[in-house]
Amino acid sequence: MSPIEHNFLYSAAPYLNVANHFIAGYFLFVNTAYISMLLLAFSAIKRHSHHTQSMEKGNTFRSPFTKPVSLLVPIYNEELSIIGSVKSLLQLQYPQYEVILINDGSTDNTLAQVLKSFDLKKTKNVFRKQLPCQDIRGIYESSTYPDLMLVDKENGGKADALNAGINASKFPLICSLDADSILEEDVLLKIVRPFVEDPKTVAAGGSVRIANGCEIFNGRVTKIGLPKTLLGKFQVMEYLRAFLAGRMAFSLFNGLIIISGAFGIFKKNKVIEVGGYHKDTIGEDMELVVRLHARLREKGEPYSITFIPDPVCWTEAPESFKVLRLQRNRWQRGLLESLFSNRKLFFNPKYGIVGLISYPFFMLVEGLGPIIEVFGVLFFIVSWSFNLVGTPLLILFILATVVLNILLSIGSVIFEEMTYRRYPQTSMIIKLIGVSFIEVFFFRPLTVWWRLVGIVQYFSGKKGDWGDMVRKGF
Amino acid sequence: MRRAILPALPGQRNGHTFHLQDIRFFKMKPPIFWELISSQDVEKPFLDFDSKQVFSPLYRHFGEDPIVTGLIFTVLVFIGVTVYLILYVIYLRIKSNLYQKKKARKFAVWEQNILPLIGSEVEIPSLIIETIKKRDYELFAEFIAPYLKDTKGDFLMRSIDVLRKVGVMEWERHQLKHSKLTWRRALAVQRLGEFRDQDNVTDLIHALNDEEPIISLNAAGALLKIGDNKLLKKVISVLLKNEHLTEELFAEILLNYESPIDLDYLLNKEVEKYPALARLKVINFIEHYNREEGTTRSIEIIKKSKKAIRILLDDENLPDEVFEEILLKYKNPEELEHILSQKVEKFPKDSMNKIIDYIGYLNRLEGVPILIDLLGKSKNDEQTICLIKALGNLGSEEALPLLVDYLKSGHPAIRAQSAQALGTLKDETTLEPLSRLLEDKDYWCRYYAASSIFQMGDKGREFLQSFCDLTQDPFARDMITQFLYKPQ
Repeated sequence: MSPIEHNFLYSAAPYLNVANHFIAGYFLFVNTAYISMLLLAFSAIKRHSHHTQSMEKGNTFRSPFTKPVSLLVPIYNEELSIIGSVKSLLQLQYPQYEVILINDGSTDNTLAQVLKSFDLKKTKNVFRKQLPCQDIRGIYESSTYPDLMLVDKENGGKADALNAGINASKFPLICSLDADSILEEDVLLKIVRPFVEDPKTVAAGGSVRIANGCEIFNGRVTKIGLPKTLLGKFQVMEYLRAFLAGRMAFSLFNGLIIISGAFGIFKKNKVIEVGGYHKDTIGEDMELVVRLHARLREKGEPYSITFIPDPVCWTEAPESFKVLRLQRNRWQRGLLESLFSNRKLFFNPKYGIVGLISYPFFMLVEGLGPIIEVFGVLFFIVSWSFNLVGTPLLILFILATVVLNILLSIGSVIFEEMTYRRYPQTSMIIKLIGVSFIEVFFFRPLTVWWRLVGIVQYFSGKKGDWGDMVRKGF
Repeated sequence: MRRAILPALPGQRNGHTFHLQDIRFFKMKPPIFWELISSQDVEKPFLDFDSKQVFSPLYRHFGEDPIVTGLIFTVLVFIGVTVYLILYVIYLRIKSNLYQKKKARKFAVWEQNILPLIGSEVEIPSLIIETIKKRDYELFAEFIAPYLKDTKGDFLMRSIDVLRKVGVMEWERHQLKHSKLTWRRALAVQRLGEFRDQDNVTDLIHALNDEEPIISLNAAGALLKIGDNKLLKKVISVLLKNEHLTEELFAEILLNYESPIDLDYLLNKEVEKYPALARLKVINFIEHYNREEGTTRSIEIIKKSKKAIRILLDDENLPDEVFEEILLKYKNPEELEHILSQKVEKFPKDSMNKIIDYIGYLNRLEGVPILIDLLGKSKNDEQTICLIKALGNLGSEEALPLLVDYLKSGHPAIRAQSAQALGTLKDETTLEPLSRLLEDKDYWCRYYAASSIFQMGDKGREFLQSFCDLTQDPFARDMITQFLYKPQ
């Protein structure tokens, strides 16, 4: 070693050491959080499944008294899949609901196709503009499908379309959907439960599953399967973990700040009260929920935002690296945007558990975590290469992280197994276990990197590519 | 005495060579930190402890570094848990597969052996009953429940008899009383409701007052399934006391009652002592129920429920949300007309104004003709203001001539309110009558007249400009310039 090198090390080593301390502390914190979430979710899911068992039987919640729901489906250039989706939406089991399609200025043939397939005619209906939205070009209704309505409007993005849908909706509960969401038949009966059982409920979300590899007929999942590609399987695992372990735990103490845009149900008057969806946000779904929390906590109104672990909605996941990269990148920017635009919550005791636990967790772990993770690994490797960290320590550290990840993934498979058994064949469960072993080596680093890029883009103010989902259609 | 924290560079000190390996992770402090401490002449580094001593038991087994030792432990624990979890998944899957198989087998057997016997007149041989062992109780309860639904008379009696003989009835009762798990007790309550055995009524009434809401609600449903009118009264009084019970759940539970519900009871005086929200729950239920069941006495019932609503509206302390709910209930024009009809004078004045406000606020366009009619007849200033405000909110063209008339009213608040309402209509024919108000002696009349004209776009602005040039009234000029030269 040359004296220069040595000198450099001599002065840099202590700083590297501090960084390593910090990173080790972070990993300890995050992993403790994950483990406790797993345990919390375990008890919550168990309780939920018992509750369902001892409550739901026969005709429960199918009476005409159940609150009617307006389903809001923003559509933008979806000519491949929209007809099937709408058909399946019109066949849900529920006493009273309406489907409102919001054509957000599609540039392809979507509008004409929908109008023709469902015999929609232009009407002169007016509605109250309770939330700001782009100009409405026309409202269409159908005599064949009385519960279907189409709002044709100027392009303004998903949030804007949802606001227009809220303006047009008749019913007290609104349910936001993606055009490609495939719903279970009894989804509304399940998701409306929290509203029926607890009048304080203002929003509820359900768990979203990946439809790739499933057999789909007429907009309905007829046979459940795993995606063919490894990338798809990784995402199945990831969704199980995120929904069954993550959201369930947060919902347990009313600290859930994400409800997936692919399926979420809200009390309309509360959404209007907070001003609806914010335009020009990427993660409008999360932003709304954070705002609901903030507003209701400020007012001191008792409320609850709940998560239902029942699988309710299937969605097509990207199976190409490019699309997945853009999706993750967008999610990350959306997350940061929602968090930063509501930053008054950060460690603010006024907002109770949301301000003290959920928000900081999402900020530090989900939002900024990738920075620490990537730099942490780099620092560790640098420290190791200069022999500041012993080889056994490095190996053990990596080993601990890897094994913990596998443990968490398998934990979620257990939740699935304990409750819903959605994957019928034993071979599928074995595949999932296998996937959880390799996921940590390939998929996780990849997503962490993409998310890091998203963070950099967010802070450099770069808008980035929306990342259109290339649909194959089912 | 100072002690150097960092070892000297190689060759700096005789006989001492520095190896980088000496700087171990977690053992070294940054120099600034160290300077602070070392200046105080401390012998030992800050926060340093003799790890070898503390971790000596582990240390002996695992090597030199306590952190490495800890990590080894952690990794081993994680690996252990992971292996356990994998085995557990497989165990769960096998167990569930076996259970499904067993269930299918048992159900097939019972379907062949027991069901036909229950259906017939023949005494069921005890031999068959004895084949159902205690471990099958859960399965048997699950098996029999769907058959009991919607059955009455002989089949039900004989099923109850079988359930008693097998011991399932006793088993569920035992679970209800002694199980420590809430969900299991709730399930027991629900099953006892499905079995519909009169003998369980006492236990269920006891469960009705249980602290756990789920048990109490399940018990209410179960009692109604078994019950008669007497039980209905008891259940309803418990349900109405529960403020957190939603209307939907209230209805769901009442719908368990299989014979026609005595609606008269629901509307009697006794119910009136409950809070407004609970009473509204009852009224809503009755109206839906009436519609669904098509009872022959529907007209009478509707009359009664309307009367109940009127009593509610008379309540001075009626919460606003209940009021709004009542108004939202009137979905079609005739019903709304009913509430606002000739008998409207019978409503207290405040309620009436509330209603009018809400019609405007809720944008109930079908209310326009009624409001116009009322406005034509209105003698009360306060009500007139409410009506004009509501019509303005609704933006109704039909009201235009009336509103223009009211611009000449003697009451300044009415004039101002009409001017404001005309602003939402943006009709150019109103320019002239509005302009007269620009020179009104009341500030708000001038303000709203100017504001309404201003809202009419370019034409309105031009009109204001020319009016401003012509008028002699300095107040009018001030008001107009305020609008015209507003910073954008």
